[in-house]
Amino acid sequence: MHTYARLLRHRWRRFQRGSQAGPGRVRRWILGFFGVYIAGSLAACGWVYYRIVGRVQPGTDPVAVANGLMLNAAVAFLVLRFFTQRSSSMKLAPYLARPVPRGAVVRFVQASSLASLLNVFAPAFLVPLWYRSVLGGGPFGAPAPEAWAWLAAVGMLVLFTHYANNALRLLLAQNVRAFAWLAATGSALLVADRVVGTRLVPRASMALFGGLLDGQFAWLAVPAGLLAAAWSASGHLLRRSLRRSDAGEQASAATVPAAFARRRGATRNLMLLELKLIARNRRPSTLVGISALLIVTYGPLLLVGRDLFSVIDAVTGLFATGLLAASYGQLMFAWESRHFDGLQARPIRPRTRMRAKLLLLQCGCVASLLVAGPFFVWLAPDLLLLSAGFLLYNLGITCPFVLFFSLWNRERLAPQRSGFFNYEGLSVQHWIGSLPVFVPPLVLALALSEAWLLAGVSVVGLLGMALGPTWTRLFARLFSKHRHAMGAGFRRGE
Amino acid sequence: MRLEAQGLVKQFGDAFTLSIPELVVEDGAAFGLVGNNGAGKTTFLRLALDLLRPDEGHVALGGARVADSSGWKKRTSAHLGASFLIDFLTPDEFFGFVGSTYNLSPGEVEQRLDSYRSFFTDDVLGPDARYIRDLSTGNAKKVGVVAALLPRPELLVLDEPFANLDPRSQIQLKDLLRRRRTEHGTTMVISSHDLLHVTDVCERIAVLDEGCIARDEPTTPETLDTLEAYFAGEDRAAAPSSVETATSSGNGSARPA
Repeated sequence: MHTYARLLRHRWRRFQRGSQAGPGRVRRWILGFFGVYIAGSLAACGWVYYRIVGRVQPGTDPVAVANGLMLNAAVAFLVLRFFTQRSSSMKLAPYLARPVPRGAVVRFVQASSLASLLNVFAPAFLVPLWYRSVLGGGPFGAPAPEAWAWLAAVGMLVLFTHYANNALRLLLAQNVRAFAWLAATGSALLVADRVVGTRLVPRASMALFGGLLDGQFAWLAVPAGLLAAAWSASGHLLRRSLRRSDAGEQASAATVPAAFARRRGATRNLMLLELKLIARNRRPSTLVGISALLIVTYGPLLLVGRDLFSVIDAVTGLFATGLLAASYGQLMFAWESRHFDGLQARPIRPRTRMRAKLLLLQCGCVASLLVAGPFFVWLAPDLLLLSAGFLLYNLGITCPFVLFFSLWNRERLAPQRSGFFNYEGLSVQHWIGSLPVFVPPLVLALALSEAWLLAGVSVVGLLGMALGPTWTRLFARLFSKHRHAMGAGFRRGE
Repeated sequence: MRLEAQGLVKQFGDAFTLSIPELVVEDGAAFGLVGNNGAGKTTFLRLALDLLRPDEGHVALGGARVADSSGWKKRTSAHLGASFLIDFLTPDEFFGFVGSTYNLSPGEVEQRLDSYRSFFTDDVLGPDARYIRDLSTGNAKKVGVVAALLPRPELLVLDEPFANLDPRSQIQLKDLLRRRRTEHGTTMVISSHDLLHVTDVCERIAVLDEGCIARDEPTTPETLDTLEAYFAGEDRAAAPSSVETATSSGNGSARPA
């Protein structure tokens, strides 16, 4: 117990001292507000869930609808976790050379990793839903023991997604091929289930949760087994990762043969430097790879789900070309935190740096469309035009916005290290921070017809692109203002 | 290139304050900065390169305040440690990148590198070279120092250039620095813990003690002994509380405000 208490104390100190850093405090309050707002909105949605279903699909049993959707929702939640959730907030290396039992470290990391906003958001929606729609009293309610079993199964499923996500991230860090095979197979099976029409997942979901509400408590073994498997896999992979060192991993770093040259011009040389950074460091290359994987695997899932929600078209168009820029771009300056001082002391104009970064993000958007293109042509050719419109939006609005947002990067990153040990990972905070750029077009998608939506996002995007020189000038001025604070922040973790 | 610090104050909480009322390093001078760990040497160099914002005062390079202009960057080059290296590049790529920022063509970079090739042993240079992050600390240091020398700057700023180098490389580096100064008249600001090397290279040495310049004297044959006595504590109590003024070299001065 002493070991756990000590680990907990260290973690608390890290949180406490991290939260006292001045410049980030205001941002934390803003993000905290958004976090509470989202949790509150989810709780309200859960509370009136049966009414929403009554409006959307009159005459249907809302609990039956929930039962049928639950496993699909778990898959979607797992994907969401994979792309947004921090892995772990501990630096483990200092403990490994000390007489701290590794089993205790593993168990502590497993337990403490539960401290995630997503583990608040999910219950925030599910518990009110359960209380108002599943637990006795209401028109669709079930007797208490069955309802409690249902809640237990849902809880175990949420925990399963948490530990499955930990396991997947560790697998990605340790064995990229195995991860890619697993992800591709899983995605292919899910798409096939939907395209072929077998619909095994919703049927299994209905059998599991419907069975529980019918008093067949043996069904609890399914989520319990899933949870146990995910916990074991996560623990096993975490234990294995403690024995690995980051040394030697660099041998597989990719080469980018192009050389720096005066004739290329400063902007293109800086873009080349960033490309080499991506190709030769685990963390950014993984992030870019994951974004491409998401476009390839999750994109088709969104496309085949078009008949469920009309807004899916907009989501697909927006994320297919904007995801890469949004995920990589938010840490645009943190990526170079290890050599930030060196770049600052050299004769590189801030405006050139901003231009290079903006152009690189825009190239990322175009490359994303090239990756997603075949799927659009195959599964939804009618979406190509809308995607082109959202490409313009992402080029003109998303890219400048994420670059602007990254001017507040203050945390040093270790890009050469794998994502799991890298406690500075992308978190829910980053995604909440990107809401202002992603929410407006989605709101427009709900309010406008597709033609008007296309016109709207295209015009706004073109305007943003036309303002490119203004953005770079403005960002360069902001960068000059923030340069000392950025440098000080990046130096803190030296 | 003249370096001038006026009324420079940088405070880190209550724990440490760097305070340099006035410090001038004249054009073409080689100025050494010595001091214990945490004395403020690197802080001063960062302030001189506009990597830190001073709480009071300013640093001017070539007459221009570093915070208000960037023209001095073309004429200045520095290596203050690992943060000046881009560790995912090979040394050749790094030299190419540094050269491109100073408007040097790849041919010019290659040509200038020739005079430093003997400084590198092993397989540090060449097409099969490893990334800088995979080099030993000493070899990485050599890459950083050579990258700083490559643009032939008017002002060269080096932090601990002799640390982690093998004896042969230390001697070679001293020779390189001396030649740089005599042939090109480069102004040098070098911080070091190595009293022997810094007295060999620099014509003027300042001792930074707890954020203040405790001594500032031209280098003489006795300087090494004096500094050793100072750091051994023999001379410390007797050291003047205010800053001593450089006298005979005429290359600079440090005075209390």
